[in-house]
Amino acid sequence: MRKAFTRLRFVCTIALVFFQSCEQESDAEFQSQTELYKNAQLANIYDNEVAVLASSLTKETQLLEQATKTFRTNGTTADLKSAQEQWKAVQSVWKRLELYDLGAVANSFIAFEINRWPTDIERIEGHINGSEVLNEDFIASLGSSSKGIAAAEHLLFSVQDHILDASGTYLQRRNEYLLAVVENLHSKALQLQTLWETHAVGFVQALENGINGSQNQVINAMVSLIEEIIISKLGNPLGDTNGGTIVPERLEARLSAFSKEIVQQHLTALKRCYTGDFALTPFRVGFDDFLILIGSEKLSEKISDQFAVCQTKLNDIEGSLEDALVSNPESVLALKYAFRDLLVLVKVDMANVLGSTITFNDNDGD
Amino acid sequence: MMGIKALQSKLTAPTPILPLVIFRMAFGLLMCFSQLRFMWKGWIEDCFVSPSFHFTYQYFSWVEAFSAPTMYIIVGASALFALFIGLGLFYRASSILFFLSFTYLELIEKSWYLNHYYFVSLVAFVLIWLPAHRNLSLDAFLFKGIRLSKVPMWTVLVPKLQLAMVYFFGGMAKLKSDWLFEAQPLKIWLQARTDLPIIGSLFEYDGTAFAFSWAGMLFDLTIPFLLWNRRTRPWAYVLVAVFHVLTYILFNIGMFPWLMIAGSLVFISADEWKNLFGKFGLSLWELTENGNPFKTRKMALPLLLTYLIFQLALPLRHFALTDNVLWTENGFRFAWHVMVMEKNGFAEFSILDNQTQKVFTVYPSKYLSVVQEKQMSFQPDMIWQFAQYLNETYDANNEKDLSIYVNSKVSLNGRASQTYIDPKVDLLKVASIDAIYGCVVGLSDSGRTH
Repeated sequence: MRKAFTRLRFVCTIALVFFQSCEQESDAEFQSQTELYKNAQLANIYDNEVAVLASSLTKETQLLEQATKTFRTNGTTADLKSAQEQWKAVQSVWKRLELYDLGAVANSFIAFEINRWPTDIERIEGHINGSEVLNEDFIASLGSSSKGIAAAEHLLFSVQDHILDASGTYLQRRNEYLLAVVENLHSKALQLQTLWETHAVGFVQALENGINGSQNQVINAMVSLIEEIIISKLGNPLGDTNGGTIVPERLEARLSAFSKEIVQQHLTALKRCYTGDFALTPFRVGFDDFLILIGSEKLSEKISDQFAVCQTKLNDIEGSLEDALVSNPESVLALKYAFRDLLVLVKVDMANVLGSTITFNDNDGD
Repeated sequence: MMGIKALQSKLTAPTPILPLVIFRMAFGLLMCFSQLRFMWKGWIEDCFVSPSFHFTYQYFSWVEAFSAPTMYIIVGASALFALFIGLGLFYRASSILFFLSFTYLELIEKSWYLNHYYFVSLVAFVLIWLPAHRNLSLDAFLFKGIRLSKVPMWTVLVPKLQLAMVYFFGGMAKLKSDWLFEAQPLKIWLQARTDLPIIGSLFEYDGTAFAFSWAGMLFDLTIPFLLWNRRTRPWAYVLVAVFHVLTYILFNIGMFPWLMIAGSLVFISADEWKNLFGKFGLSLWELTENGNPFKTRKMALPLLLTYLIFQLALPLRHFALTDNVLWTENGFRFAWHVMVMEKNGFAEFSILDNQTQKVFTVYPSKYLSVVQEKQMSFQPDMIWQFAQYLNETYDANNEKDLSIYVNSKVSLNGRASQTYIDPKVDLLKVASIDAIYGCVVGLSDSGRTH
């Protein structure tokens, strides 16, 4: 017995030395190729996609602010057209950046402030017809459904000729509201950029596998976005919830006829995130490389192929998504099914081989 | 007859109460911490309050959650009862109330089923009948007449057997080709933990996963015997501690390792405790005895035997129910299938109104929490339950003629996702929750993606 406990003390000492050395090792370089790849993948995502898009969003919203000011001053149809085009430029960038609403950035709920869809038209019109001073401070005090990109879309794209021709208070207040929304949008874009800059190091270094691990968060974000496309952006307009009656009104960005482009931007963002091909850097690691590294070449190929299927189905839709919904809903349904198959591959297969936690709850497992 | 008498006299022979008392303290204090942790993590909302629909257990559909404040009171009370068990205060009442409150909480939501929750319920039930408070407890301090230094052997044997069954059946559950010949799911899980210092780099190699798989299986199957054997016990206990600390570091496994480490203390005999204290220059005081010896009631041993037979049969029932328990999950719960699979799924439901021919597509995330959706997607009984819930939701007045179908894909232990429930089956025509297992499409082993 005495001998056994002497040995026990010896084992405890060894264990203590072992754990102390573990702590000392924490600053060392990556000890495994998996960690090296994971770190390279996260750095690639931030440096070549998130940082670039966040900066781009700031610039594009600034340009939108300028275009809106010009439109408010001159009020011509050409100026309106120019502002509308700039709104599309903002939306294009946002729809790629929206994928990366994760970690500390997601916890700030800034994504809702930038774009909450659908927007609350009644409330917006109520503010315009009201008597409050319409400036950025006022917009900042409002809930997310009365501002952001979706609100700007309503204000820019629902303008009818009679509104442009009107010279009354309504037009003036409407333009004031629009400008305030766009100014607020630019502020939020700057805020988002700062948020990302602040948390970039944490994002790139969170290599752990748990729910706080960045790779896991990115997978969860991919799953959420694909589900959002299937359920809200395609399923609802296709009539999934009402027994199959087509409802074009439920399309995102229907007013601007930008719905299809939005799906395209999401698809592009998802594919780039998967392949890591953001920029022509020599070591651009994506999930496809990661899957190959851990011996899942077949799955890596299957997912790449499915992205191609989604792209083909999207290309098959002629004209706007609204037109396709009315004249050829089967093509939209085919697109939805293509995204559904992509969802299964990412949420089920990829998560299974990566041992990812597709949950935001860290309940114990045994 | 002689054999039964001999066994009876062996089971009722007096043995020191110390191991039982230590087991009580460890279990009670750990459960108190566990329940407080449950509250602190916000799981009362996640598990009980937020979901609008609960997956209840078969025969327990009447169990319902209350409002958030009430649930906080119940979980808080169960923590208090556990503390009382640890302290040995109002022990009998505390153990009954802890068993009832904990089991009630466990029965509310099937998607949160964990083997260790089930284990806790069983231990709490067993503790009700054991004289674990008859020394080193506040009860024994307040009511000196109840103090015992020795108890019948069976009272220490029961928690030992309970613990041994977890390990042994846990080991048996690993005797599967996935575990032994594919090193799955450990190959996946270890590759995901290469971030660990020093040993992390080893997890990139398949050989490590195989070594861990076989070692884990051998550990589970042999550790009860090694703990039982006086000679091997000290090292076996060190092994228990090392094994479970390692699983805690490697996997998201919560309280389970600590429960097993604490529970295994019951194997350490009174003499060994005295020796252990002696090594550190401490002496364990002699436990005094003021009360009458604990008498084993006539029905105690037959009831104990019935309980043990039940505990032996339950983990084996899947052999009669299915040829692949990991895939179908028929008989999976309450059978100590601990950490044996990585399973992910996807499910979407179609509701066909046969009168209007309208089809509604339902994505479970609209109705279920993330945990519920995840667990339902690969468990047939929960898919069936959700279909019944959808039927009630879409046809509240029972006036429509609906059919509900599920498009489900599941991936098990690195295999490519496969169709899970036959998509042509109208789930509303599946007569019972047991019948749904007959609708599970067979697992194809081709197309491993990993």
